[in-house]
Amino acid sequence: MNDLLQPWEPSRGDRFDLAKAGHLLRRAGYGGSLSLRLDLVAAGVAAAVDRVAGPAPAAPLPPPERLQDVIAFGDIARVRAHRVWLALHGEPVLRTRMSHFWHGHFATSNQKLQDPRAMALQLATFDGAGLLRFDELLAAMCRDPALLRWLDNDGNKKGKPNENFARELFELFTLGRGHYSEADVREAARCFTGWHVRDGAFRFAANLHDDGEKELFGARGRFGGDDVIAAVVARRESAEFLADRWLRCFVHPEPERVEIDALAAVYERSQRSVYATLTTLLRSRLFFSPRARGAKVKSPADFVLGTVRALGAHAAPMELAAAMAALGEAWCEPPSVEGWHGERAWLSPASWLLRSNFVADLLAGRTGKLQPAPAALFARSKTPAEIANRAGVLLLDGALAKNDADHLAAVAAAHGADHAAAAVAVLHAAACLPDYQLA
Amino acid sequence: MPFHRSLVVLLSCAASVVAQDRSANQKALLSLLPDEAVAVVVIDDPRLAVTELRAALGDVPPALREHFGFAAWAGLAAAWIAVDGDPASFAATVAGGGAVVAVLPAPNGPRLIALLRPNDLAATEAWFAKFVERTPRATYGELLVVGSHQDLVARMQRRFGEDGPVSRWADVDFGPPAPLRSAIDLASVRAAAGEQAKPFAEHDAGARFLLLPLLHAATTAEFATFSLAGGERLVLRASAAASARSGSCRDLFAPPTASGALALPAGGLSVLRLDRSVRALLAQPERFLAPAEVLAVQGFLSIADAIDGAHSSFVDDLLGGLEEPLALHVLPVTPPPDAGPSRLQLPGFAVVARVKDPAVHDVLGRMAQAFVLIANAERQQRGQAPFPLRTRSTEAGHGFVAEPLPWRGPGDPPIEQGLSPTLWFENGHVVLASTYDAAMAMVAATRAEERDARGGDLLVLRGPEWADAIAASRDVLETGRVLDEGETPAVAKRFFDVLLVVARSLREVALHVECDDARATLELSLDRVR
Repeated sequence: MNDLLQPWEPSRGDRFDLAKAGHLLRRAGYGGSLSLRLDLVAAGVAAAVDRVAGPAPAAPLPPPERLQDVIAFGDIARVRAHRVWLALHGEPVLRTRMSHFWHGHFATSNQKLQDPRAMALQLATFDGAGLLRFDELLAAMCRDPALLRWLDNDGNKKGKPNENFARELFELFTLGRGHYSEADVREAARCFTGWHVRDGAFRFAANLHDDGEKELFGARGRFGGDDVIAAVVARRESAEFLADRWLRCFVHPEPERVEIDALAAVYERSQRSVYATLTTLLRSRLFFSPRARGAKVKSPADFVLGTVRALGAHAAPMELAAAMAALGEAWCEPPSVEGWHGERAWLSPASWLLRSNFVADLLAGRTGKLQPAPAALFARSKTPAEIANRAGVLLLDGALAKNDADHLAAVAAAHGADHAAAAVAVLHAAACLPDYQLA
Repeated sequence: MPFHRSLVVLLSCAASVVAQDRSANQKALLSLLPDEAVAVVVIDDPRLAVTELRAALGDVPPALREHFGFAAWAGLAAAWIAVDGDPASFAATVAGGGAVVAVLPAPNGPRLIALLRPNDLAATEAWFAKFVERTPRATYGELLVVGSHQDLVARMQRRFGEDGPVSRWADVDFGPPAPLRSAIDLASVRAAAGEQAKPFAEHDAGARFLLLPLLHAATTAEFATFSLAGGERLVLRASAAASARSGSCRDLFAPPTASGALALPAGGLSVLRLDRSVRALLAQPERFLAPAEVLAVQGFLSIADAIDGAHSSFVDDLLGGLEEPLALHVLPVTPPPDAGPSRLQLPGFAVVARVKDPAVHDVLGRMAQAFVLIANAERQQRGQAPFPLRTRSTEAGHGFVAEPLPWRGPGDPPIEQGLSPTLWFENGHVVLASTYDAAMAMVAATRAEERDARGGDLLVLRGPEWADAIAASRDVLETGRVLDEGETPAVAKRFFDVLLVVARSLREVALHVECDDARATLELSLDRVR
């Protein structure tokens, strides 16, 4: 294994501390409360990674709690709120994080489908199979009613192949541009003819399937959809494509070639196990390196959910989902088949102001129904410096620059003896710091 | 003490002791109140009031007691000890000769002042000293003055000693005798609310239409009076000398009908009937609505009229063919027989009206077919199965039923599998219902001819029936609380535990609003399961 992906071992000068536990929770999940971070520090890095990743799944996991209740509402806003609830309270955190990674990867929008049930079931498929072997996940997605309808494969039939699904399968889901030909797309589209949806479920319409001979990636045969899946996941380009995506999500927005090659090798050696690849990455020297920490811009989900989780609070998922949508991340409605571009695109003068307003409203109780009130977190902090320090620990793992700490202390001091107002103002000021916009 | 003030107090004392004239008693107390009070509560006979209210409210349901938290138990126990286990006797002790409570506006929230005439002043003072010692209070003769603020109590004391004018509240009509009566100076409340108190015409069209009598009274009447009575039922009555029937909106009220409206059938959950004419509103929207609202109505009508093409007018032929007011009935959940029920089960909804012109059958039939065609086309675009529309008939009636195809998809059936929208004509009535069963239940009600003689607006809720409907979808509704309110699953569960116990203990809650040519009256009644 490449040195970069060797397990990181703490040392006397480089301990597994609050900042590293926070880093792990922010990348593998949506952050965590101070007590959770302290628990992880006490457990040590290996146990911490085990805890955030959970046990290795051998088979698709059961659907998440309350899925059928949410489906019964038939309301996309509640599907979204359910995902927020899972992100806030679901265990292990990597399962939910990966579900939302795959949601951006196989980006499907309810704006076209108008079918909250199909969206909820697709997300449940990610929950169940998101950490299995990629072959299994891809096979499930190629039978997913929402994706098939989203990419028009419902109308893909013998004699009139629709290439949309096959093209995105190669370009966006497995290989990336430049690693397939137009002829491959055409032939793959023939392979997926008859892969349709009926009564909300996948149905193979044999009479509409093109059973003739095709040529795919240089091989000839009477291929079907499963042959395309098997061929595409076995290609090295697919391993590199996925490794690049995972590095961008978990480590750095601009991964280097050597990092991609190393992670692709891990993926291939693990028989394309998503779980094995990601746990190796989360445990690695690369993951805990200075290059990775604070290298990413928080998405609206990271920002909104991360703030609530960092405060160890409860909040109303429906309102948090609405806030995320206002900040540009409406789950179940990605902007295009490419999902959310993220990183620097998340930040603009307007979005910065919206983030500031969201935190102000959340802390003041105007939105989100936050419980308990922020002041309760500062019961033992008496002086402005203590309040500032406490806010820094809660939101920034205590990694406050001197001038930021001074700024927060000045904000606290400005509220005099009004302890509750000082707590709210300091948390708001901390959440508006540039460092807090980074994950 | 100035002569006139002394006379008032002396006369009232004499009336109380000699003639037991409670009305005179209260008049004396009212005459002492500050003029700027905006609301006053009068309790003629506190012992009777407590006895009647306790009889109406009944005991706390045993199933509810287990949900009391420690704080609630401790509070109740403390209150019970404080009143020596006998609230009626306690009320007689502290205010047996009557009481008035006034609410005064203030920048930091309302202030309260209470004038009590205890049966046992010494015992009352001792009680205050023992349990609420810090409450500002003072005695004057046989009166006890209790206030939310010390300066208010001191001011009342000074007023006893001044030769000031008799308070305007002495002349206010608090309505017929009742254990507890109140009057609110709406004009002063509106003045205190300033710009927030919008005139009637500035409220949005929906509120003006739905709440017409109440909103009109609240925005124009000088005073509103309230009374609370107990006994068999708890009844809150409110009345104001302002009637929308005498104003520019009088034509929005439905014309009177000879037969009265259908009563809520047995087993039904709710009925909502508004004494309004939708036809009058849509026929001449410019008479009642602002220009922007008129445009919205015209936009709606352009679509509504297009559905039946040139054959009919939505206002003249459809609404004109029905007798108003329309009534919405909510009926029990009836899960579809051919599929497992959805986890969220809707009760049945049915709008029922008497037919004035039989030609409306054809109009409604054509519109139903066109509407289902449009809805099915949209469902097809979403990959959802259509609701085929079928005609059905019985010996006495006929209609259209749109039934879903059997559910063969993954998981539980969606909520719409429980629907079978039905348009039915029978017994001189038309019923538009969310399910065939709901339509048939209403048809049966038209045959039974049970009528509700009450005119005006009416909302009836039956607690046990609602409890059954909520229980049928409880898991989903709990999830709704978790997602919407951010409650933990345990808190959401407790919310519905309490809600169901409360609902099962209320036989019926009814809200009735009526206008004659001079007054608007509201009656809210609550009837416990005995």
